[in-house]
Amino acid sequence: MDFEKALEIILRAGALASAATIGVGLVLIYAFHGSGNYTISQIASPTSPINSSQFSVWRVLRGVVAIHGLDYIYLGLIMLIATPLAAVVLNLANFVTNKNAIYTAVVAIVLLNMLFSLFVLPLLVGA
Amino acid sequence: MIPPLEFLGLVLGVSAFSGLLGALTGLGGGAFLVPIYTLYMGIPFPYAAGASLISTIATSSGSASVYIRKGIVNVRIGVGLAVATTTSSIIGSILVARIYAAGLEHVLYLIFGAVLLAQIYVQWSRSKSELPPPRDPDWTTRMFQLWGRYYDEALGREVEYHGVRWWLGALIMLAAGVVSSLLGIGAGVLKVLAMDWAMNIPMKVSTTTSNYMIGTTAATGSAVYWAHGYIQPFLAAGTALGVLAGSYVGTRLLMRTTGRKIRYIFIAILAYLGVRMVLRGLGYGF
Repeated sequence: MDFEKALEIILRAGALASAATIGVGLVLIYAFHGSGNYTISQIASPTSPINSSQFSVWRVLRGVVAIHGLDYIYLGLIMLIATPLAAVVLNLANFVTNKNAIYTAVVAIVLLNMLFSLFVLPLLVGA
Repeated sequence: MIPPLEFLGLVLGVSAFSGLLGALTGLGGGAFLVPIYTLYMGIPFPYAAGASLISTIATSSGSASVYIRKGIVNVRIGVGLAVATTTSSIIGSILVARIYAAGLEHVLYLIFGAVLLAQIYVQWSRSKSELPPPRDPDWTTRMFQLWGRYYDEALGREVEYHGVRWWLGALIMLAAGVVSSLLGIGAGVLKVLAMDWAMNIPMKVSTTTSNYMIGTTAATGSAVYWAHGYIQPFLAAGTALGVLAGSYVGTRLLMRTTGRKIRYIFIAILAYLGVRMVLRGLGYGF
């Protein structure tokens, strides 16, 4: 399979899978009139106190097992954020395979930026 | 207090409308979304920007795949320039957290208003020609392999092109990354400016490549948004789905509508929202 085809599939699959997961989360919230300990009127408000700062990846995974709608939404959002990351990894692999030295270096920096931002920075600013 | 189901309907409707306008104008959904959310729906700026930032990733992934298949996106140029946008989006996301913490939210309204008002000029004088006048290749053309080809449907032929001045493009991309993280928008217009004006890349290639890059930039900036709690899950969920649907329809309409009258309507909306954002920034909070 050629590179551009693979890239197209990653982006499309990422967008569709995350949209579907987010959709499931919304349906669950309405079906159960809430999610976990939160009521629907706490969740569906313009100034809701519920936000991403309370949700870590591990908590989201536990919530998904417990069929909590909010955690399905968060899982969908994580999939959404992970899609460009996967695309950058694919790009890097492509440049390495084609022995394109300058772009291997440039895209490696892009990847490092993303990994730093997604995995290191939250620990630094969250404290 | 608005009932939960009506609130979801409102969020979906507003974001679908914004996604539609964003695709038709080439500004992205966020340009309309954030003003409507903050000015009319009482949504705090961080939540509005957070939901908008998330939605730009969805739109980017969803629509870029179409243009990659058609061979219009120059993936190499895009992912290369992302070295600038990802770096500056990290800086922007740290900066915006400081701005909120210092209670300087009105500054963000002012910047947002200025960005919208600047678009009026861009919309007004939108490039009439399909292809830029040719320029001689420079050292960056060779070093960063700034060339490509695509089939242009409007011209009915294959177009070969090459870009120049990578460094100037990258400098403008640095600004685009900061704006993206500060305001929660894709800042596609700055990205197009970098490629179209600075690097002399054909409009179709720069627009679609910018669209592809927006996802990478926004995903990078979203980490600090997440950690600080600017992403309200319900709002982000409805916004992502709405904008995705709206931009899907808008991208397909775009093939047919490029009429002048429609552009005047866009300019009027931009002017109105831009002035309102500036006024809010100055403390006239009506």
